[in-house]
Order: sequence, then structure tokens, then C-alpha cells
Amino acid sequence: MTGPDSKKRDALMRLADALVEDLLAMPDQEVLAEFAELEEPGKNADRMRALFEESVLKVNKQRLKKAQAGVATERGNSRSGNVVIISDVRDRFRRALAACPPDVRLTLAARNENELSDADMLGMLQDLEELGIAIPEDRGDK
Amino acid sequence: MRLAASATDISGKNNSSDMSEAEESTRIEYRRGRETRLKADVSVRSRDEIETAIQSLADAQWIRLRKAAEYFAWVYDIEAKDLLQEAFCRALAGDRKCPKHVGVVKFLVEAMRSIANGEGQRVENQVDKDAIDAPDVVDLLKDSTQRADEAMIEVEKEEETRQSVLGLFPDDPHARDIADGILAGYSGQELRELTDLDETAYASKRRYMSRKIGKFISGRQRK
Repeated sequence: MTGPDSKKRDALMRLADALVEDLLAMPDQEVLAEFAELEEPGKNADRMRALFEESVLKVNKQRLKKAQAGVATERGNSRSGNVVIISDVRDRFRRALAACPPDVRLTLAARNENELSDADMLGMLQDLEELGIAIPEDRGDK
Repeated sequence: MRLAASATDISGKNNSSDMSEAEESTRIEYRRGRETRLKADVSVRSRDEIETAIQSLADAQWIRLRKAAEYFAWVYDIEAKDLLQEAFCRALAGDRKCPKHVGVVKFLVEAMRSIANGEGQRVENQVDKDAIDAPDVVDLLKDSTQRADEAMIEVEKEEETRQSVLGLFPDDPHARDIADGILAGYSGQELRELTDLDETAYASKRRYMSRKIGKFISGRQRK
């Protein structure tokens, strides 16, 4: 917007700039003396410090939130990035079948592990784990 | 010192005759990168340094920060406290970098100026964007009329502000002319010529004008 209102605002900004320039150039004693006519400089400093501390807390909270979001994203990535080696899964499945208690009845399809798809086998392995059937560790005899 | 030493070390290696062109190029790139990093390390204040510098400000510096916030906030009709807090937050979050050779008060003042200015432009741009996005001609005309009214009110308000500022000096034409000249965009030299004052008299009159307007703005901000 470059209309007349913007020009007026520019004019006021020039005045504000000039006032700030003079304020920064003014000796400390004059700044303090002039301000003291209206308010106690020490009290002002206390209030301003409190405002600053509020800002520190605000920024720290924002950083914490960002960090938490980062961790959540990282966890999500690592979950989706799990690599399954299917030959290991088949080995585990065979061991699970061998260790199955006699009262657990397996379908014919389950017993013919070679005919199962990878997805079916992963699903069945999870089911066995959920049923509490312990899968023996690989003894390295393959 | 560290920077000079690292450059000498590397340039010494560059002289070896058995170095291939690719190796030399890699080393130059590395040196440039390292120099840039070292320059960056020494030229910008860290978050801790900014925090410590602000916490240890003296009473007069806090007054300067508060008044500068009041002046910029007055122009854009926003809260001085919010403006200052935003400047603190951006400095701490690293959104704005504070060069080491710049005092922290000057840095924060610049940050507030930029935030206030950006805030004003954001609002103005939003008004323009709304005009483009308006789907209906009737709505557009209605909005356009409303915006024209708002702009008119804004102009009137700012003219009123200008007159209030100039009205602070009913019996002092020099101070009034200096203020009017600043609003019109005259430089210091031009203002001196305009008022026909020597350097000392001009400096004294300008201080008087600054204080008077500063009190006026602070008074309005505290209402």
C-alpha cells in the first residue's frame, strides 16, 4: 500500500527514528534524570527484567515443543524404517512350529510353511507370540 | 589469530609440488569454509551471550529500550510491551542474529523497528490481498467502500497525531519547524538551514524537541 495513509505512517516513523537516535545518544545521567520525573528507574528495570524472564520462558517452551515434535517424528521414522529379513522370519517360524505344545492345533497350511506367503507367515508369528508361545533361540545348527 | 594461523598452515601445504589440482581445489574449498565458519563464530553473539548481556543491562539502558518500544509502538498503534517481548523472543530464538560489535540495546531497538514495520506492512498487505480475494462484485464494492472509509479514518487519525505533535510547540517555531521537517524527511543539515540555527543551538533545540515529543508519546502509551 502506497497511499496517503502509508506516507503519513512513514512520516511518523521518521519522527520515531529521530527520537530513538537522540535517545541512544543521550548521556545515561540525562536519561535517568528525565525518566525519574515520571517513575522510579529501578522499578522500571525490575519490570523490564521480569518481562525479559517471561520471554526466556516462552522461548524455552517453544524449544521444548520443537524438540518433542522432533523426537516424535524420529520415532515415527524409525518405526516405519524397521527392516525384516524374511529368511530369519521363516527360521523363527519353523522353530516356533517345532516348539509348539501338543495342545496347540495348527492348520495344515501353517504346517506347510513353504506354501505360506511372507505376509501370512509374519501374521502367524505375531499371533503365536501374542498367544505366549515362546520361540526358542537359534542354536546356530542350520 | 587462529584464523590467520590456519590460513598460513594450509597455504604452506599448497606449495608442495606433488599436490594434484583436485586436492588443491578441495583444500581451498575447505579453507574457505573454515574461514567462513570462524568468521561466523566470532561475529555473532550466542544465545547465552545475548541473555547475559540483557540481564546485566543498567537502569538507563532499560529506560532506552522501553522508550524506543513506546515510540515504535505509537507509530503502528500496537502495545509497546508486546513489541519489546517479541524482540526479546526473536533474539533468544536466534531468528535475529546479534553481531558482536553491535551493542545489545541497539540490536534490540533495530529488531523492534523491524518488527513494528513488518507488522504494519503485514496488515496493509492483508487489506490488499482481501481486495483481490473478494469473490463477489457487490462484496468487492462494499469492501472497497469500507476500506476507503477506514483509510480515510486512518489518514485523519495520523494527521491528528501530526497536529498534536506540532501543537506541543505553540510558542517555539524552531522546535516546531524541526519536528515538521523531520516528519517531511529533511536531513539534519537541511533542518539547520531551515531553522537558521548554528550547530550548538540546533543541537540544543533538537534535544528539547525530542524530550517534549518523547514525553507526549510515553504519556499516550501509558494511558
